[in-house]
Parts: sequence; structure tokens; C-alpha cells
Amino acid sequence: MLRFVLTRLMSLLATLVVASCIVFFVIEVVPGDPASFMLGINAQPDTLAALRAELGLDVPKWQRYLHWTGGMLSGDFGTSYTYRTPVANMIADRLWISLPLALFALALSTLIALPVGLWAASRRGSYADSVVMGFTQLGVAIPNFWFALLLVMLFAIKLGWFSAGGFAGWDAGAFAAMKSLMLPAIALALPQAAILTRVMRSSLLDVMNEDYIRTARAKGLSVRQVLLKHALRNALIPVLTIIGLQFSFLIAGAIIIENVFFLPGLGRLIFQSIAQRDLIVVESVVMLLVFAVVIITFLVDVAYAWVDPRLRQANR
Amino acid sequence: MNDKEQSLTQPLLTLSSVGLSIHGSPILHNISFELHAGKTLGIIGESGSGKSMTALSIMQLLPRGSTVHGDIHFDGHKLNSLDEVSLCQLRGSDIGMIFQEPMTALNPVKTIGEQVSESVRLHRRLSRVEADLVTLKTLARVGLPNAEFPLSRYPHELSGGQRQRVVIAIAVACQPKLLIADEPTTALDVTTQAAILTLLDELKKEHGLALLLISHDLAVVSNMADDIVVMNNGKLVESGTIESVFNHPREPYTRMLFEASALNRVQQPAGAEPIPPINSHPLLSVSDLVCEYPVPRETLFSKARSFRAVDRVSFDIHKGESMGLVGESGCGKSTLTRALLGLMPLHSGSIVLAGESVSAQQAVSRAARRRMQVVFQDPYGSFNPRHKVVKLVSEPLHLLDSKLSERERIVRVDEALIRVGLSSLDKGKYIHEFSGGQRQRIAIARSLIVMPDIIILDEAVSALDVSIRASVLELLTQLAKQHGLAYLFISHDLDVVRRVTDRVLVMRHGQFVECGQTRDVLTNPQHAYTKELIAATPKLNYFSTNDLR
Amino acid sequence: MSWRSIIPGAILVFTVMLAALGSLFWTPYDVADLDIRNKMQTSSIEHWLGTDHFGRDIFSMLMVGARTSIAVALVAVGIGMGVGVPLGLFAAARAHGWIDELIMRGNDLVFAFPALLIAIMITAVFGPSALNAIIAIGIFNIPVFARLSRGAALSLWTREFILAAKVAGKGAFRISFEHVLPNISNLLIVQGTIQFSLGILAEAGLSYVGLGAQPPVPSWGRMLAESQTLITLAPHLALYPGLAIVFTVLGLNLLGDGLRDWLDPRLRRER
Repeated sequence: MLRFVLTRLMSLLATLVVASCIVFFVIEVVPGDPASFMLGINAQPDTLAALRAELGLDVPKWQRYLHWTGGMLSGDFGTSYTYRTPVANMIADRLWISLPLALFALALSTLIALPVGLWAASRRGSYADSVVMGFTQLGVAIPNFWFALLLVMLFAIKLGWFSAGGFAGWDAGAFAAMKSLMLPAIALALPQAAILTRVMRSSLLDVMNEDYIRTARAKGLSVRQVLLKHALRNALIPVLTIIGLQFSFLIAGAIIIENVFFLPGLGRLIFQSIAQRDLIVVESVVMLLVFAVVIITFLVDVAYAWVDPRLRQANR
Repeated sequence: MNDKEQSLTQPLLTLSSVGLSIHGSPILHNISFELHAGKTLGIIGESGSGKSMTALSIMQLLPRGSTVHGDIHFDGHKLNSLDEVSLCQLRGSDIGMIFQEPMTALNPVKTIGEQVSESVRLHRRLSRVEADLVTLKTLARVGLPNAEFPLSRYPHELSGGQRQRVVIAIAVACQPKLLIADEPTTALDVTTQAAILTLLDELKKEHGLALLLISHDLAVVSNMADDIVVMNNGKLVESGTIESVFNHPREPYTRMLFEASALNRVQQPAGAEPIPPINSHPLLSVSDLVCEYPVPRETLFSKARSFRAVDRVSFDIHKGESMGLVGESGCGKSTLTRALLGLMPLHSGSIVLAGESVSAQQAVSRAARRRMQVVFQDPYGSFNPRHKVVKLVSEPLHLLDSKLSERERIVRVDEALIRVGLSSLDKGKYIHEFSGGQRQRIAIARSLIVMPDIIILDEAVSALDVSIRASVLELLTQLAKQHGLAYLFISHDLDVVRRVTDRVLVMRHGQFVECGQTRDVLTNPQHAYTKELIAATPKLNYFSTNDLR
Repeated sequence: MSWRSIIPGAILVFTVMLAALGSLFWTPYDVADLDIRNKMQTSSIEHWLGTDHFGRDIFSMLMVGARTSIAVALVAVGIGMGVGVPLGLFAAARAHGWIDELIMRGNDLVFAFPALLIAIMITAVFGPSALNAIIAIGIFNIPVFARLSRGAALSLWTREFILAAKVAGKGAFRISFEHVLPNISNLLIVQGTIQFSLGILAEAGLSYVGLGAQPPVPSWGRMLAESQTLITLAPHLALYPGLAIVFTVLGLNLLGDGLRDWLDPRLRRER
């Protein structure tokens, strides 16, 4: 098991290194020079040079890459070109909105999808199953930001239960903060839950056709017992893959949903920074999100090994 | 029925006029038989005869949309009208079942201990510790002692035979009255098969349980059963005690089945008399062949290791000769085949076909490939399902040096199809329109189309039913005579090898342990492994050869 | 039985396709026509679905928007298949070799970048455009098709009919195209419809945040973005583009599910 984890960690590191190279060099080939953009067209050459030196833009690109990645390892993301404040601080403030939102949505989607999928599979072919499947079919087709708009129309404008946007801030108390994340999280989670429900159901139905399910039935277990004791754990293997993939969709989705609800998260930060050519912020946020996706993939791999003993000894 | 004393004389299991239909289409018709405690009933039939469905009807574990008519009585219960809760109480406790495919019959994410003790704890009110004790005892009884096979083992750590023992342990852990074994040894090697059959017989005697043994293999049933039921197309053809049915089969189908099985076993090799002259140049000459597989590295930094699948083997095959190669799974047969076909790099040694060297390292010449063709085991997997027969059969024509015209191709395909007993009209069909036996004929036609000197038959008849197997073997013998073909006949089945080969090689752990004239080797084996192999092969009892005339 | 969902799926997809193609020749109103006096109208005989804040006809804009969505998603699927499938086939033909390893690790790497991040990076460099959306979604599609075709091809390569083709002297390239590709084409068609529908959703998302098609080209995502500020005044503006997306995606999903069951050889044999 330890060896399995170590091998995965190695490939995780390799992915991060290559990804950071890609992010850095893609964004660094940008034609615009941040310094001249900041000072306007009429800037004096010497002020420009001074600013470039201050921003660390005057050294060769590979040195800037090493500086950037080395800094990130120690928590120093550089200085924003626009605001002249440490990028790390800007990200940290926003992270406390985006991360809880993504996790909230992930938890919501998983908690809804797994039981519903199990329930539908156990009543396969019934009226209830068809209704659930119909809803998931619809859920898969709804774009989350439009769903968010509909939620705003209903719960914020019509019923007035929630505010239409903005973030109360964690200072206002956990309840108020969670309340302002509630609609965004639902908007993110439900379409994902629809996908996950379908995967859970079809994975269970596939597993129920396996030979060892017949063995378990021949032992005298009822259909329900077989479903819970034998099918569920095997069915989770493809479900875990999808949960992992969904995290990257949730991150992407969160960036868009933050726009709908005017949440000052990483998504807003990134669009703002693109508009202001604050490339170091764009680079750092993209890298942070890639890091999150890679970490989740790693956790999913470890979870695989936990579920499936064959993988634990894959290297034996 | 509720009179307990009566049950001693009454049959434990009675099927009377049982019929089954799935989604309205009939599967079983009017099946009736009885099974008494302490007896073994064999159900014999070819694929699609409905024997497995009969077993599942008794277990009431049928696919969705099934309806059963008639009565299935077991130990005072009418199984087909029992509610699900009572059925769950019977399954695993009074009726145990063993399945055909041990590789997939166990849950891959649970330990063997969990899977056996689950059955114990379900049916007896035992604590976890007590259940584990029963589990330990049961596993030890089926030949998996705790010292070597702790309860914490997972199925993927066991071989096929060992997994089948776990399945048996699950089935007998609660000491059932009836044990249903559906093709329990079909997926196993002969030596493993012999051990499992002995185990089943012992368990039957120890616990006085009734055994329902389902098999396509007459020899297996003839050694084990007291009574026999012959099934075909969902109908019961004939039933009775094993002596009466074997010695005096009444129905033509039973007779045909027995003769086909006996043909495989009793007849002498076709080419027993004319042994090819040894002094001539061999057609295929293999010397000191070694093939190795890389074993996946343990870590990124450990040394790459390799597994030696074929270890210094040498043999010659002459023109027109039929050579057998027998061995159990994992002995290196398949690797050797791949090497001969030029699909696998050689580690050392050489393969020379008609004076030309064959190996995957350098491109094998068209001429060499033309001389050697192959027929594979699986009549379903051997053909691209999206191509028509004409395209399938003509594929090796790619090996000709000059491209044939479309008309010439068709002529060659027609010839090849007719030669294997099919019609030229068949060339426009897709492969799914043919039966297993017909598909193997098409595979033979495909290999014949370039007029090879030697055909490698890789378990070519193993997947066929006995009656069809006999006719395909007949065709092969006849083709060899007509065209002077040489065969390398790879099989795990000694009887098939006995029937069609002149000489035989016995392979184990990548090496040949014995080789010689087929008749000599099989009647008077020298090596201990060959003896074991022959002893393990089930013999067809009761049926005297005289009846064949 | 679920192959029957092909019918409603095909009807929905056909309708949207017809609207998209039709918009090339005719729309009720020109979408470039501003008519401020008639802005934010609700449904009427003149304007079936009403008008937006510039007085443009919503129905006409939806028709042209369908063109944008379908073009972007279709080209992105094309990129994904065109690059991904050959890569997957190549990797499978050289299974477990270093080329295979390189292709698969490359795939893992691309999976670490959600389509939106790719779009953000491209926008940061070249500025926003519809081409961005195509490239971003297309790149994200590549590993999907590469993995799918590699996995399916790998299991085919162990089949005996491929061995038979090898024995018949055919090379890996020829076998890949003659034997492997036809046998995975069903899978590719089904995955193609799924990626197509995901592409529609992604395009809508990207143009909603301004990373997709730029004004004045109408797109469903941007129509939603523009409606958001007017959500209290004219909620119907937010309704129709959303419904258009849902119908298209639903249609494609129903079509894909139906095709999967229809093309599944196991089910077909029983029919």
C-alpha cells in the first residue's frame, strides 16, 4: 500500500512540474508587456525599466520560472502587477470563498447522488426508477449557471429567502456565510448529482450481473443484502472516478457560478486579472486550480486502492 | 409431506413436469426427475440444452422475466411457490451451489474468510469468533489449510482451482442436504479437475448429501453419478440409472452423444502405421528455443526481471506429420505458439521453417508465413464481426506475392469453403449467422486458402460440443490425407490428441517432459507428470467398446 | 427498450440543426437590427418570443445562436476525435511501450486542465474569441477520445481475429484501420454525441463569462449573461436561451443513450 502511494506521489509531482512549465510558458509568450500596460503608452523608458526591475521582469525567462515555482513552494506567489500587493494574500482571501463553495457542492452532490442511485437501482424498472431517471436526464442537460439564474429568480427575487448575490463574509458568522453560499452550491451540485446518480445506478446494475453476485445469492442473501454487502463496494470503483473528474468540473463551474452570484472568489479574481493584464495573478490562480485537480486525482487513486485490494498489491 | 420419517424413503428433490419460459419464450419443457439423499444425479447435455437453467430453477435464482410451471419439491417445500424470505433461508443452508467459472465467482473486494463466514453467520446464530472457527474448519476440509491460506487472503491471490475450493467451502459450510454443482470443473485443468471431483465425492459421503452434478463431459458424470439425466434443447431426452442408460441407451440422441464422446476416446490414431521417414529434412525445426516475458518492475528503480515461459525446447515436425502438444494452463503452450507464428521475440534458440528462420525480431517473410497458418480456440473471437465471410477467408491472400484479381479471390474462397464442407453461398454471410462448429470450419478454410504446409491448431476443438468436435476432427484428418498437411495440435485434452496425432510432446513449466509416438506415450508413460495427467483424465466407464460396432 | 429514446432525441436535435442551418438563409428579423422603441417586449404575433433590451428579435437570435453553439461544439468534437482517436489507436498498437506511456501521461496532464482553465489561459494571451472556445473544448476532448479508443483497442488487440490478421502478415497500421477502428466506431459515435452535448454546455458557459463568441455574433450563453442585469424587469429574456440549451443537450443525450443501446452488439444479437 505504501509503495502504491509513493508511486502515485511521484507521478503527481511529475504532472505538477510539467503543468507549471506549460502554464508559465503559455502565459509568458503573451505579446503585451505588463510594465508598459501599467504605465500607459507615454511612459518614460527609464521609469519603464525601473518598474520592470521591480517586478522582476528584466531577468531571463527560465530564471523567472525558477523564481516563480520556488516562491510558490514557500508560499510566495509574487507581487501583483496591478495592486502591488502579495498575490498570496489576494488568493488567500478569495480561497476562503471558492474552496468552501466547491467542497460544499461536492458534498451535496455526493450525498444526494449515492443514496438516490442506490435507491433507483434497487427499484430498477419501477415507476419510481423511471421518474428518477427522467429527472437526472433533465439535470444533466441544464447548464449550472442558468440553473443558478432560475434559483435566483425563485428564491431571491420571488420568495426573498436568500440574497440574490454577494457574500456575507465569514466575519458575519458561519451561518450567514453558509447561507450566502447555499444557492451557488445547489446550482453547482444538482447538475453534477444528476450525472453521479446515473453513474451510480448503472454501475450497480452492471455489478449485479456479475457471477459473484449469483454466488452471494446462492448463499442465501436477499437482493437487498447482496446490493449493500457485495454490489455497493464494487460499484463504487467507477463512481470514484467520476467524483474525481467532477471536482475539476466543479472548480470550473465555481468560476462561472461566482459570476452569477457576484461572489468575490477566485473566479472573479481571475477575470479581473485578465482584464488588467495582471498575468502573475492569472498564472498563480491557474496553477493553484491545477494543483487542486491533481491532488483530487491522487486522492481518488488512493481511494481506489482502499476499495479494491487488487490494486493495493498491483506492484507485487 | 410434514411427516419426518417418510422423508427417509422419499426423494429429497423432485421435479415434476417443470417448464420454464423467459419473457414468454420457452426454455425448458416438461422436466421430471428425482434425487435421493446420499446419491449423485448427473445431468448431461450440450451447450444450450437447458441444464444450467434447470439448476437455477431449483435455486429459484432465475433471470428477470422467468416463469416456472410444474412442481419443484425439496425436503417438504414446494420451491417454486415459496416466498423469497423462506427461499433465502434454504439457499446456502439446505441447498448449496457451485458454479462453472471460479475466476469470477468470488467477490474481488472481500477476503475468502469474510465470504465463507458470511454464509455461516447468516444461517446459524454464531458469534464472529465461532463463525470464524467453522470457516477455518471448512476451508481446511476443502484443502485450504489456515497455515497456507489464512482467512485474510483475497480471491485474486489464489489460483483457479483454489478459488473453486473456496466456492465449495461457501456451499458446504452450513452442511446442506443438497449440493448443486454446475460444470464445477470445466474451467479447470485435468489434474485440478480430478482433485475437485474427488473432494466433491468425499464431501458427499461424509455428510450424506445429495449431489446434483451438471456437466457436458460424459466421462466426468460416468465416474461420479448414480443416476443420469440426458437433456437436449430444453427437453429431457432420457433418464435412469447410470448402468442402464450407458449400456442400453434407448434414444437416438443419447446414442449419438455417447458415440461421439467414445469416438474421441477409443479410436486409434489415424496415421498410426505410416510414420514419416525420419531421415528426410524436417519441415519445421525448433532447437533450444527460449522465450521470456518481462515481469513488471516492482518499483521504478528495481531491476527489470523476466519470466521464462519457454525453456530450451527442441522438436522437429516433418511433412504430413501430425504432432500433438499437451500441457495444462500456464505450461508455456501459448507462448510457444506465438513464437512459432513469429508474433513473439525469441530470447535464444531458433525456429527454422523449410530452411528459413522465423522470429519476430526480423520481419517474417511472406513465403514463411504462407507455409504456416493457424486455427484458434474461440470460434466467436476468431473473426472480425464486421466483415463478411469472403473477406474473412481471403485475408491470408494478402501473403501472396502477386495481387489476385477479384475473380481469382472469389474462386479461391469458394474452393476453400467447399473443401471444409461449407457452401460457396456462405461467403456473403456475416460470422454471427454461423454455429460454433461452422465457424471452426471457416477458420480452417481461412488457413487453407494459401495452401500452407503446416497448420497450428491451438485448442481448435476445445470450445465445441462433443458431437460437433468429432466431425471437425474427421475433417482435419481427411484434409491432412488429401493435401499432405502437417499439424501441430495443441490441446489440454489427451483424448483429442490420441485421436489425431502421430507423435506427442508433453509440456510442463516451459519444458518438454516427454515426447514420442502418441500411442506409446499415452499407453506407457515414462515421466511421472505424464502418468499423473493420464490418471487424472476421466475415463468413460460402463460403455463397452463392443457396442461401437 | 431504451433505444427508443433515439426518436425524441433525434427530433430535438433535428429541430435545432434545422434552426441553425435555416438561420443561414432566413430569420424572422435581422439580428443586427436594433429597434430600441420595441425593446424588452414579451411574446406577440410580430415577435414570437419577444425582444431583448436592444429590441432585437429573440427568436431570430436563438436561431443564429444555435449556429454558433453547434459550430463550436461540432468542431471541438472533430478536433477531439481527429487527434484523440489516432493517438489512442497508436498507443494501443504499441501497448506498454514508451510511446504508449508518453501518450497516456500526456493525457493525464491535459486532464489536469479543465476546459475553462485552457480557455482562460488562451484568452490571457490572445484575447477572447469563438476560436478560443473551440480550441479549449477541443483540447479537452482529445484525452477523452484517446483514452476511450486506447482502452477499447487494447481489448481488441488480444482477440484472436487480430492475431489471425497478424499471422496473415498485416502490419499494426493496417490492422488498426481495417480491424480495430471499425469495431470501436460504435463507441466513438456514442461518445461523440456525449462530447457534443458537453461541448454545447461548455460553449454556453464560456460565452456566458465572455470567453466565447464576441458581440455582435449572438450566442446563447451571452444572451443569458445580458439578461442577468435585467432579470427583475424582463425575466423572459433569461428563460428562452436557457431552454434552448436544455433542449439541445437533452436531445443529444437521448440520442446518445438510444444509439448506445441500438448499436450494442450484445443487445443486437437478441433482436
